Amino acid sequence: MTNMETERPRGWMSSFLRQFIIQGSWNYRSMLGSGFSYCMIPLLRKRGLSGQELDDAVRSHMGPFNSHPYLAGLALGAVARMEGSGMNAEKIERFKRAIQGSLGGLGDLLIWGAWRPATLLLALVLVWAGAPPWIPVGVFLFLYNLGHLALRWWGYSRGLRYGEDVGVQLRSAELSRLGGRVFSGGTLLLGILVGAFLASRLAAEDPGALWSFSGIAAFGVGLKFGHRVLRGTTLVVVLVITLLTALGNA
Amino acid sequence: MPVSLAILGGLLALDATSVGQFMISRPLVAGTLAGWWLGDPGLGLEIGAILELFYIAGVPAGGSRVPETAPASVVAVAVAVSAGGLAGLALGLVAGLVTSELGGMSVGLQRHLVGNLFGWIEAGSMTAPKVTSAHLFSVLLDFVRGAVITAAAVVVGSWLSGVLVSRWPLPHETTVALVLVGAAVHLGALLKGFGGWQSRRAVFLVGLVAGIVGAYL
Repeated sequence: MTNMETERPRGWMSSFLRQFIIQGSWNYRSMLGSGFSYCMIPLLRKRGLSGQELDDAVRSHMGPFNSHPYLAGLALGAVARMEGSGMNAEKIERFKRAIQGSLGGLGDLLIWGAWRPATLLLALVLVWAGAPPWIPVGVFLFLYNLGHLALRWWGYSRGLRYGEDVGVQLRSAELSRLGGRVFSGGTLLLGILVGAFLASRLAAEDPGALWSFSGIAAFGVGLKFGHRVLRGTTLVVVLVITLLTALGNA
Repeated sequence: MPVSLAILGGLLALDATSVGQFMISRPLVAGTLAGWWLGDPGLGLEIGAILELFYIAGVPAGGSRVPETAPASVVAVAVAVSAGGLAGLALGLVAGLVTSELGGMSVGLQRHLVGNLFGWIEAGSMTAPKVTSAHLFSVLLDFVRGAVITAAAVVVGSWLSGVLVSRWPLPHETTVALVLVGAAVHLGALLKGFGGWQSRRAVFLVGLVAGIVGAYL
């Protein structure tokens, strides 16, 4: 490993911290493009760019780019290294276009699809168990952000280290397999939560069983149709409560 | 009180997309914080946990429009505290669920506005300071949007709940059961997202039995 491969470019910490607000200007035109450009500015300045040169470099990063926010740092680090080694803007743009799909898909699967619901389910089990408010909230925030911050740091530091070869690192890290394990843990916690709900409804006074069977049927609907019915369900709940209020005690 | 709640709603709204994504914008956290702010963290936790069941299966993939949970959770708890009694939970949840959809729409509008702002900057003489200013202005805009949504929904929701509070006909236990039936659809969808019944049934059933046994212990 040469010095060039391990040395971090000047301005890397400022750029790393800026990625916490990389989505600050998320928009339908360039998605994360403007935020990406904003995060690159400290690195470009520390490379000695100023005036028109700096403005041109900032403009070159304004193109459409999208990624999961926690993994955007991987592309950011890689681009910082590529810029430092004098790679031309066209090659860098091609790299960004090539890697964004993987970063988005992997982050959605691993974080939004697995890690976040699994840690939330743990907190909800603690709520059901009667823990005081600060315990489930504290456990969720601590555990979730442990994974969150580790992933942000891992992505950014790998990007800085491996530059355009970071794709190989992404594949060899087997994050998808990690996601599979989190899915299993989340499923176990989901089972515990549903079991606890069912038992408490069945044990309740009449018509407890009726509510339990309704809950099982509703669970089956969600399992069958997935995300397609979520908005509709919310609307039905709002309508039922509104109707009951309208028809209720005058 | 709406001003302090609006600031809380605006700050929590930032976490969802613009700043950090530390998940303090999740209903479980935002609801508890709002409850603590209003002097009833237990009620905040209860409402936050129920709202969480309605949003836990959601995946904000590729910038799709999703319900906005942070101002919604603040509004739900504020309305529940304001209504009080048996109706508080039901009316608070309705206020939260409706606000989350309106909040999601306002996020979409903001993203169009920010896109236009950067389009305008790119069309002119684009400089690094202008990009920095526009980016930070967008963050501020998100805060203001969250605060306005929270304030407006708290005012309207509290007024409506004041009018309707005496009409709610169900006891607390039945209200919770009714809402949990709706939430069960979302939990079913979550299992589908985790891999579905075929691939996860063994683990799910182990958990189910553990949950039932745990409830009776």
